[in-house]
Amino acid sequence: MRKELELMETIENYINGKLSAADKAAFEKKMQADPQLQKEVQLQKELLEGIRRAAIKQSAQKGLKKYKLNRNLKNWGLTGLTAAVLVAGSVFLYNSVTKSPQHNNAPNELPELNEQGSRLWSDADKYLPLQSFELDPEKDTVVETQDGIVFAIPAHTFLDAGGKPATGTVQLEIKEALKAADIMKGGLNTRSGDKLLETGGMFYINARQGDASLKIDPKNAIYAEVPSDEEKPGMQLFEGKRLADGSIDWVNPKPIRKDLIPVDILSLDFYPPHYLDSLKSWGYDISNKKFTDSLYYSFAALFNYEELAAKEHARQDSIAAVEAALAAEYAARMERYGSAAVQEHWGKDYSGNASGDTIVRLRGINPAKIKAIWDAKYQNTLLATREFEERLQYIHKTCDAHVLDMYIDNLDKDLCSIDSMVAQSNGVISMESDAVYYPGYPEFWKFAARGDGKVKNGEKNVELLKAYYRQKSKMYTEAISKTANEFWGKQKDLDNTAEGKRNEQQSKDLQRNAENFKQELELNLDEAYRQLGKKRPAPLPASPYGLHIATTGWYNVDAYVIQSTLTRTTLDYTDPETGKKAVINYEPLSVTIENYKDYDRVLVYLLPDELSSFQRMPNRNEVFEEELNELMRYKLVCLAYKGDRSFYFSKEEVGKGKLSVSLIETSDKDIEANIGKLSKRSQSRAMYDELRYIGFEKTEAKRQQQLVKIKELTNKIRPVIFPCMVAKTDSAIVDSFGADARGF
Amino acid sequence: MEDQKIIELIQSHKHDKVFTALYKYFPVVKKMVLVNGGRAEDAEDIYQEALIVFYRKAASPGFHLTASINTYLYSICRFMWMEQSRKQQKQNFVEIEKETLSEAEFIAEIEAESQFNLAEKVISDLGERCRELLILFYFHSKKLKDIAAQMGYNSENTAKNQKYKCLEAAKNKLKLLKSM
Repeated sequence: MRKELELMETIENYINGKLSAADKAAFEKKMQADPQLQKEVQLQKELLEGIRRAAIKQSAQKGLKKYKLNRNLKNWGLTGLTAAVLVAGSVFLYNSVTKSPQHNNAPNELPELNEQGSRLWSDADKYLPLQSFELDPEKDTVVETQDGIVFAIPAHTFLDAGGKPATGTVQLEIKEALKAADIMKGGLNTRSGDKLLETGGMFYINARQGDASLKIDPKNAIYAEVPSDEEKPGMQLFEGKRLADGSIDWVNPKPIRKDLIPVDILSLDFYPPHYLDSLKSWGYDISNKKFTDSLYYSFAALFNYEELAAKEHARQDSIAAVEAALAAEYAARMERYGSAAVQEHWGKDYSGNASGDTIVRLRGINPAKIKAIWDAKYQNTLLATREFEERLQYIHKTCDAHVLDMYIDNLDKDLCSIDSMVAQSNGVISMESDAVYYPGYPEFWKFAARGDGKVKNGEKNVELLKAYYRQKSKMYTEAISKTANEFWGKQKDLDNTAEGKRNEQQSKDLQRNAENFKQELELNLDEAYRQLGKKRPAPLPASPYGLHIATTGWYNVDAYVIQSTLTRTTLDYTDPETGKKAVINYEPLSVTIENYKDYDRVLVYLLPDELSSFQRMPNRNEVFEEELNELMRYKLVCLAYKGDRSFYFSKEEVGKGKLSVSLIETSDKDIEANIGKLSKRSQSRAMYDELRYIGFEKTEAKRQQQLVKIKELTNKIRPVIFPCMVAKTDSAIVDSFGADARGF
Repeated sequence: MEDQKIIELIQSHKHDKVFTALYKYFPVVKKMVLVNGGRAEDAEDIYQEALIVFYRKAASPGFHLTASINTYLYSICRFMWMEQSRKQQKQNFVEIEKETLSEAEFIAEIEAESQFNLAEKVISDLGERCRELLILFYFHSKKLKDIAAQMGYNSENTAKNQKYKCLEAAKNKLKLLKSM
């Protein structure tokens, strides 16, 4: 050894306390005299610490990797993924490498034929230790090698000699040379022909059933992740060709990443899975993209958390006020009556004031985000590919907006790198989801295995596109939520207007009925007095119906007539003094409408010549019935509506009995004209007023039907769009669903 | 693996399985970092550093557990992340509901470790074979004879010579860095 190296050895022994007492004393004495030596000792101490730190980091990284893998395996278990069983014999073989190094360089026993069916074996085959796994080829399997290569093996990837997926146990053979030592031991070089390669690691993988080697289905390839500290661009996968001299030549390089071919992004389907199918099965026209878009994007209003938070706070404030009052009352009662009795009565302990931020964040992808990326701006990026379209279906299923964010945040990376990120979920906290801890989405390993790269010569301005995504998704959320609010605000206004009109109409009805009653009563009183041969006394001012009965007189007659007019029953009165009779007959008319059920709405009116307005015939179980006053001559008008169509019937003279009416389709204008001809002026004025109101009710009903349709559709499609949402929604969500859809 | 077992393995320099076992306490740290504005990678870095700090403490003679390893690691991570957030003038620290130890339990180790970052960098920048050799010998306390066999050196002596050459290279680099 050189002198410098010998000194280092001495220093090392000194640090480790391995010097003899005499040597130690001598060394310390020398050190005192020599500051340079002190410095050397110090440096060496530091280096030992550095080695320790580097070593711990290395072990920790391995630990982390194992931990992640174990976790993924656990998660994978849910989707049917199994870990391969390490074959016991080979564990022994492998472990024996470190236990008894003297066997280390002995060649392995090899099967007769290699994976290509020939007898040629290389030194690497002979000297690299075999790691052997048993797996069930009909299940997804993950294998991790001793040095950390992870193979994700999809089910049915192994094909037998006949090209059919293998069944039964498969033996997987793996040899790896990642460390320089292993590469040397395997006699591996890193040459391709006469070119020198930089290696990211070499491995051999083969699957056998008995003596026969299986093939890998190229459409269902195995995903291999070779551990590396840094990603070197331009890495390629070489096939090893065994040479007669026992070495391996590396041939047939293939890029590890596959280029993506962009398509027109607007021709892709970015909707959640089954969105279009569902709409189609419910009879909607899914070729109308304006409709499908606006329905889907309308749900973005649910993600306007700032607004929801404001609403929630208002709600919380009012709850807090009530609870505070309750708490005060509760405390007072506790003091007076003792706890048990009070609690039993109140059912809830109000002493603790419950409040807090209870804004429910939706588990789902905000449609505004989809709107942001489903845009010509993203042409020629990896989003505009069939490959991304396929992933998006799965992204929707995760209900995790963060997964979508990852794809856009990493637009400039290889698609498969993002896939593997998602699979392992190097998650960051997402502002739009309450989950801060991401368990990872192992189903994305399958995508990662495809090695999809990026769009060749794709859009370079990714930073702008990322910013655009953030901005636009926020903007769309706000805009859509605003539109929704406006729409429902307008509906509310219309509701109020309708309510006002209805009230107005009701008071008109009451007025008309009162007026009709007054007029008919006058008629009846006149007739009753005439029949009794008496002169009718002047009515008492401002009190037409017998209240002021201070003196005897004819009030008796009045009372009977009022009674009969009010109940529309026949008056049969005998004057107790003269024995004369007053009789006014009320006789029933009933009108039935043919095909009544075919109409949305049927109305029947009586227009008595003697009255200035009309009477609406009450509808009793689809039969219109009224008692007719024999003193009056009635005309009949029937109206019916079905959708936008109007139907009409009128008859000049109607009397008691039963009438069956067949309606004729008539334009609204002709109806007006007919009514005008039929009735006297005051009546037609009232009828026109009635017709206008019916017209209003018709449009109102249409509006309400439309709203019901919107609500029905949004409720029906909601679980399709947000598959993770619980059926029983929280009130915050229900509230916001008041504004869940806008007109389309 | 139980806490006491982990400590025993560390103290007897049998680290193989220790680190995988120690990562079972990682999720709560990750959560703490994520809710406090960090990324998963930050959590991994900070946890790694905490493992080193804890390792130093656990390997020191006469160490015995005064709290669970989980609490140790979490307290160290929480302390370090709060320091980092404070430096970046981040907003309030959001607590995860978890028991924590006082700084006194680990502050000395954190400070000690902070001196060795440079030396660690020098080691990490060495060639892979050098680094492997040094770690096997100094950290894993492997015998030169075994190392020679494992790494394909002709003899124990070659390995020993190579080891000092590697150490020398590191020392020169460290000297250079320190003089700058």
